[in-house]
Amino acid sequence: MSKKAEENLSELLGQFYDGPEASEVLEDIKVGDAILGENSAPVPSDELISAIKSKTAERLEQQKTVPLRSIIYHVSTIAAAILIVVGIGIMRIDKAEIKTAGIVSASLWEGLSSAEENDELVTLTAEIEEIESELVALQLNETNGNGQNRVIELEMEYIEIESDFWKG
Amino acid sequence: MTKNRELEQIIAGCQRGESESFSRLVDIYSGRFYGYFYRLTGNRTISDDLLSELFVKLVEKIGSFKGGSFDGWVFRIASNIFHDFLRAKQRGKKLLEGRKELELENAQSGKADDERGEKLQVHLGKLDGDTRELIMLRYYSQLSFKEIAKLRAKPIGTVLAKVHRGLKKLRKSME
Repeated sequence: MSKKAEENLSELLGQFYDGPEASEVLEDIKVGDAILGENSAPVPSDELISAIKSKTAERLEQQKTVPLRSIIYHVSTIAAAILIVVGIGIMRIDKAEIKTAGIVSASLWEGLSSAEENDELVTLTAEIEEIESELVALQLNETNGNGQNRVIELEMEYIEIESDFWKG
Repeated sequence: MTKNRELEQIIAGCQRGESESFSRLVDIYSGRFYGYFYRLTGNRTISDDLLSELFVKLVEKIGSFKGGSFDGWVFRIASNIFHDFLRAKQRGKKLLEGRKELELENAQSGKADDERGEKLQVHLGKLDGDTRELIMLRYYSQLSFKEIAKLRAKPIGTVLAKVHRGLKKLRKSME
């Protein structure tokens, strides 16, 4: 039974109209409904019904493919995100290895005790300063004798000390 | 099986995306909705289009039906489709003017399949658009005044008065 049929129209009209007026309104509505019932509207053609059924079936198929596309889209998005994260991770690991290489090299230096290191540095620095002062003296002709040979000798000594220094 | 139970099963089938259930829904409702659209527009071609649009819309929206009165739910969609049609037809003009224009079309609209049916269409065309729509909504949806008032967001007294005046006018003009 429809909601319209279930509705108690007399009771409803009684809320808005007085007794006799309510009855009159009820009668007008019933007659009006009857006129509409007697004059039925045209019905849809069979072709239209078939076309609508085809269209709804087609639309349903489209809706079914949409979730599949959506799943593919989401999966590929997640895969791309994972690749990016992995790529960034690899890049960071490479950088970390480079830093580690630096640290290993430094650790060799750190392997020397600071006392030994200081003694060697003091000795080498003193020798360099002595040679430098001798070179200056030679350049100013403050020494006599075989000056040219002495310069070569000093330069050789200087190179030797310098290479010893960098070898550690 | 009761009609209500059968309808519930069809709706459930539609919500599962079963084409056969939609086909049955079309069989059950197409006549009522076609009558509704035809009485509002007075034009078979437009009614064809609106009916097709309604069922396509149902495919899209059936998942959002959460129970209650299915007729009320589906007639709300049909009513919205009709109003969208009016708005599209108007292209910026006021809705009221659009209805007047449609009323004129209805009154002038061509030869109907049957003379008395056409007479009704002409006289319906003389009613204001809002009243005509309320009368058609009540007749074709079989909803109660209370439900129609809710659906159209109008006070029940206003709906009652408009439907009464409209039907009385129709009765007099048809005599």
